Order: sequence, then structure tokens, then C-alpha cells
Amino acid sequence: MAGKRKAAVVSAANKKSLPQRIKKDLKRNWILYLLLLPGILSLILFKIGPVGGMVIAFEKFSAFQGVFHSKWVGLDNFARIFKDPYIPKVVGNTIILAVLSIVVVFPIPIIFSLFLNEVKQKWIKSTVQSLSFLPYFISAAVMVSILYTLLSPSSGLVNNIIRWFGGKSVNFMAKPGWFRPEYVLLEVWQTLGYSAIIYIAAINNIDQELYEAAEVDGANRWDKIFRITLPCISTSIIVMLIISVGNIFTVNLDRILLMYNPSVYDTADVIQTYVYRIAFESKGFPDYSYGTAVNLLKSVIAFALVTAVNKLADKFAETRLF
Amino acid sequence: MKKKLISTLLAAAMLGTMVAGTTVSADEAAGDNTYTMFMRNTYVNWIKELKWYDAAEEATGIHVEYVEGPDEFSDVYAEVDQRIISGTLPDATMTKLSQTNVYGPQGAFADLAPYIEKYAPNLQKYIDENPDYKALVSDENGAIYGLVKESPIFQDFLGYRADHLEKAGIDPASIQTVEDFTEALRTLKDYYGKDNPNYYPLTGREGVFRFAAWFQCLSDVSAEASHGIYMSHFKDYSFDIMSDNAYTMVETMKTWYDEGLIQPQFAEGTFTEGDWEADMINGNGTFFYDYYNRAEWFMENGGPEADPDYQMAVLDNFKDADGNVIVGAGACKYNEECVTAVNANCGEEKIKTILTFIDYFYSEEGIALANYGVEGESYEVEADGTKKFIADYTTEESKPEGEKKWSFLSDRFTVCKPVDNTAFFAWNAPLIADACANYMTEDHIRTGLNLTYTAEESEELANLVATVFDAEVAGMTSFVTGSKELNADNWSAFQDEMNGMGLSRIEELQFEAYNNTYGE
Repeated sequence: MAGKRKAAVVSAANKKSLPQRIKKDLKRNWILYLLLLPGILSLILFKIGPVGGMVIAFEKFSAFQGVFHSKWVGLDNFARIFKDPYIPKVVGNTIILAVLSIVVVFPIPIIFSLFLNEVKQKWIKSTVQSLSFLPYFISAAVMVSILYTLLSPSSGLVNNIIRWFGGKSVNFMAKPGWFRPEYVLLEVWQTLGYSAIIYIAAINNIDQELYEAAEVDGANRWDKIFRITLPCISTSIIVMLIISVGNIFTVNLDRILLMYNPSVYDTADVIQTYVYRIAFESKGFPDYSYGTAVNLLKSVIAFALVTAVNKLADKFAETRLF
Repeated sequence: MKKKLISTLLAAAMLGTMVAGTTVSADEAAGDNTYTMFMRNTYVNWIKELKWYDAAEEATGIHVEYVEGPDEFSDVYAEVDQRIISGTLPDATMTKLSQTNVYGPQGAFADLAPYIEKYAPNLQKYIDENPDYKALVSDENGAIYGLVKESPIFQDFLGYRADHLEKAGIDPASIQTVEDFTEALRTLKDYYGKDNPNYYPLTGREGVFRFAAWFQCLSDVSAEASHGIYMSHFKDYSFDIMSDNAYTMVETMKTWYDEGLIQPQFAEGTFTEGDWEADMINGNGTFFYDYYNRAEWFMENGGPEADPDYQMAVLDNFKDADGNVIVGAGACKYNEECVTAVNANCGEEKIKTILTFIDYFYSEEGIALANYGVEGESYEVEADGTKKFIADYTTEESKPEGEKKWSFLSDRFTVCKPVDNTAFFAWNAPLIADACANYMTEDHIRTGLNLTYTAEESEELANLVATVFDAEVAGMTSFVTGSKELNADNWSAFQDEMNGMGLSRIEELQFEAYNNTYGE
């Protein structure tokens, strides 16, 4: 007993204070901390710092007066959002595009990965994967130009085929009903290969003995996909789903602006295009504060959705992101 | 030790790379006979080619060092904001009036009023002689934070392929009204459309709702009322959907669309400038209503090469049922999007230099130089005292990019200066110069009105216009293309929807501004 007490007293005496421990750690690992410094600075300057700039949502911001001296207006800009008769329309359009993105765009890379995994020839597998990945590096401007060319009413491939079958040319880019399918098509085209990488990596980590055992038990390809592959990559799928929900209000602004025309405003005008018009394309004095307020509210809702999906995932699939 | 050294260097390199992008080089000190000015890059390139501009710098002994901005107007003004935030505003800057009205009183721009009185006698005289200008640029305390560029007053022209009309047996003089015009479109469609499925007699670029003047439903503002969106749309895309004539306009455009008389992609808003130009050059179109000198542009840019018979012409304004000329929407006298403001950090000497340079263009010598050039080189004086260009428009304007030339296209921004409309219209190829002489007259053009808004009015109006204008265009497009059935009930519901979105409030604000600007 006395020995134990003595050891505790010695240990307490040896235990240094927090600043002393930090100092010791810094001295020992200073090179590692030095390497970390640019990353930390970059994070503070370009990621965390600008979040503070969102305070202009509560101000009547003037570029000259700056964040610290612009007039404080409290929640006025947020109140304006709820009074703005145009907001329901752009929010509606944004949500429809976002839901389509999740319902249509999200499962396609999973299906693609599952099917690609079934290809036995390695060179075909790697070639298809590389080709599917390429569009990710094509800019939105080029993507939309390709779409315009393909769908041109006078010379586009699609309308040539329609005419060949005796049909009449359709200006798809000017049909409000076609805007969303076109947007989703480009999204799938551009992100398919990139998103699939995560699932392919997860599939590659599955223990091959599971498949061998299933084969011994007489499982066919579909059985193996639904009973082994999918359950084994479910964690990755849920993580990706949570991330997708977090981006639910984030549409590809460049793509929409390039596809934008008066005929499709009804379906193409979304929160970001509205904010862009008010803050950056203003015919008068740009209203940065209102634009920021709309975006801030959008971020808060997205955060709430991510939290909810995270909880649901934890409850039903025992997987969570945070 | 080696590892430590490499790690240290690597970390330092990463840190250095990161902060490199954030450093801002200090402005070079400039002497008293020079100043720096931020401006849209297209205008800077334009200025570099102008012979008269070089002569002005020589005459004043003042050199302007231009800081090039982006090409898009909205990006130019956004960069002004960024430069204000980062403290990198040059001595002078191209900005817009709504920015000077807000940033000026806050202290970003210098109040030029006392300096103009002291150092710019010609400009002061101009301000005194033009109370509308004074009202536009001065705030309630008489401070002047920005100088607005004067603009030539012009309307769009209805250009056409004269050879097409001749071959189809149409006499241009017979096209007096919109109804005549529609009939001419039908005749052309029958004549050229039978062999060419891509032929549409009326074509154009981008926004299709540019015909409101023909139907007498332009947006407007007066002492009695305000109709439609006038802010930023007094000329281009000016229309008033509350007017009965707007219904007629949409109905007529729908007829054009349904009968294949108008290029459908143009009507749907997806026809680009390049598409339109190609159509006009390749014989897929006959008529267009666009910038006043575009008819000449086609003559100079491939028309005659594509078809030896190619000949453009310009039609007179249409007439109403009583035979009166229908006026077209004209530009405002002052271009509020092209304003020169001076950095408040400039000392009196620098402001004096800037104002001395600008003041020169308000002197008799400067006005003559900027509008006609140098006597004996670009113009000569006739016996009756009038000036006549001797420099050839086509030769000068077709000089390669970057080469010095005589050019007097005063619709572009160079410096704030008065514009001689006669010189502006005369500086064109004969086809356009003749059309201007006949159709750019007071009885043909409704001059736009510059309205003075308070900062609050300007902000509210800009936000409403950002929503309502696009919605109006989208709604009218859906009627023209048949996405929505055009009938009295749907049209009325559309009008109500636009009023609900803020059209009526826009009209209220414009009316208030009119009374504040021109009221007793």
C-alpha cells in the first residue's frame, strides 16, 4: 500500500503540465509541425477564415466599409428571403434537380462498379474504367457545347436520327421539360467514372474467400452481387450518400448558366443562378448581403439534412460519417 | 541531418508558394503628368489604336496608364468592388453610377466638385450648361463622385437583304406597317423556303423581344406614369406587358413562329450571335432588327463573298395606322455604365492631372479632336463651316488589330467627353451613314431618360429587375412557342403573376425616380 502511494506521488511529480508537454512535443517533432504549418495556414486563410465573412448576411455590406464597418441589420436579409415571392420557385427548382441528382445520378456509379467487377478480362476492365473517368476532366463549357452540337435542331445527330425516322426536329435545349434530363445526363456523364472509383476500391477490398465459399454453396452471379458485394460496400455507399445529401442544394452553376435560355427559365432558375444575378450581375448596386443570406440559409438546411441522414444511417445501417 | 534539411526546405517552399498568391505589388509611383486608370480590357485595346487619343495625350502632356479589367461588364464592376476591398484601386477607375452613388459618400471616391471648379473650366461650363447632367452626377450636397460618359443617341435598324426582296418581287417601299412586314415575310418564305428548309425570313440573335417599338408597347416613364421595366431597358429589350399592344406583339410573334417566318431558335432564345451571322451570310435569313451598323458589317464580313448578288439595305421605321412614323427606342444621352471615378486617396495634384486631361475633351479643340480628328488628316472644313471626314471609314476600320487608325465610334468608352451625333453617324460606310441621316432623327427616335435613384431605390429596383425581367421574357417566350396557350385568361394570369413578383413595385419606383429627377 505504502509502495503504491509512493509510486503515485513519484508519477504525479514526474507528470508535467500541459504547456510543458506541448513544448516538449514541439521540440521533438518540430519538423513534422513545420510541414503541417502551410496546410494549417491554408485551412485557416482559405477555408475557415472566409466562413467568418458570412457575417455580411447580417449586414448591409459595402465593399468600402468592409465586414467590420458595414451597417448591422440583424435578420433583415433573412426576413426578406421569406417575403421574396420568387424564392419558392427557385428553391423548388433546386430541390427537384437535387432529388433527381440523388435518385438518378447516385445509384448509377454503384451499378456501373458492380457490373465492371463482373468483367473478368483485366484490360477491358481497366480500359472501361479509364474511359469512364475521362469526362471528369472536361470543362462544363466543353460539355455543354458537345450537348448543343448533338442536339442542334438543324445539324445535330439526335435530330438527324429523328428526321431519318420521319419525325420533326426538336430544339431540346429550348424545351423546359428537357432541361432536367439534360442536366442529369451531363452529371452522370461527367461524374460516373470519378464516383465509381470509390466503389471499385471498396469492391477490391472484399475478401475473395467469401465469393469462393458462395460458389461452393451454388450461388450464381446475381446472388454474389446482392448477398456479398453490395452488403460489403454498403458502408462506402452510405458515406457517399451522406456526402451527396450534404451537396443537395449545390448544383453545377457553370453548367446551368451555359444551358440557360429564356425558354427554360421555368425549370432552370435555381438558388445559385438567382444569387448570381443579384450579387454579381446586378443592374444596380450589387446586393452581396442578400445573396450571402440566401446561401447561408441553404447551407444551414443542408447541414441539418446531413445530420438527419447521418442519424438515420446510424440507426438503420449502423454506419455513420461523424 | 540531410532529411531535416530537405524537410525544412520543403516546408519553406510550400509556405512560400501559398503566400505568393496573396502578395500584392505596390503601385508604381507615378509622376504628376501621368495617372493610372482601371478599365474594361476591350476599351483599353481600343484606346491603344486611336490616333486622336494619342494626339490628345500629346496636346495635354498627360499620359494615362491603363489597368486592364475583364471583358464582361458585370465582371468589371465586380473587380471594382474587389479592388476597393483590397485597397488596390488605381488613381481613376471605370465604374457605374450606382457604385459611385454608394461608395462616393462612404469615402472611396473623391468629391470632384471643388476640383472641377478649380481645375476644369470647360467641364464646369458643360455642367452648368447641362442641368440634366448636373442633376445626374451630383448628390443632394452638390458632391460629384463620378463623371458620366456622354453617349450618341441611336436606335436599332431593320436591316435586310435587298437582293432577296428584289428577287422575290417585293418593293421595300411597300413595307410601311407591321402588317405589310408580315406579308413580306410570307412572300419571302414562299419564295426561298420551298427549296431551303433552313430558311426563315426574320432572324436575329439572343433576346427576341426587341420589337416592342413596332407595336408601340415600349416600357416608358413620364410625369403621368411608368410602364414596364425602364431601368436598364429603356432601349434594349424594352417592353410593357401591361399594354394591350404587348398582347398584339406576342400574338404576331406567335404567328411568325407558327408559320416559320421567324428563325425558331431565335424565338426560343437559343440562337447565338455566331448562328445569326452564319444564317445571314449563308442566305438563310433576310431581315434582322439589330445594332444600327450591322447591315454594313455583313457587307464587310463575308456577305458578297458568299453570294455575288449580296446587298444589304436598311428599312425606314414602320408607320402606325394613321401614317405616323413609329419611334424606335433610343439610347440615353448619358451612359451610366461608363463612369470615371477618382480614388479618394489621390492628392490634389493627381486629381488636377486627371481633371486636366478630362477637361481637354470638353474644350473646343478637344471636342473637335475626339469627334473628327485632326484637320487635314482625318477631316476638312467645308465652305459653310461644317466638318467633313476625309479619312475613309472602310480603310481605317479594316486595319489590322493593334494598328493605329482614325476611328470615331463614340458609343465605346474612352474618356468622359461630349459626343457630336452628326460626326458619330457620319463616321460610317455610305450605306449606314445615309440611313442614319434619314432615320436617326428626332421624329424617329425616342431618347432614353436618365433617372436619378437613391441608393435604397437603386438596390430594391435592381433586385426586383433581376427577378421580374427574366420571368417576363420566359413567360412571353412560352406564349410565342406555344408551351403555354395564348388567350386572354392566360395572358391576364401572366400579368398578375408578374405584378405579384414585383413589376408594379418596379413601376412605382421608376415613377418616383422620374419625379425626383424631372419633377418641379
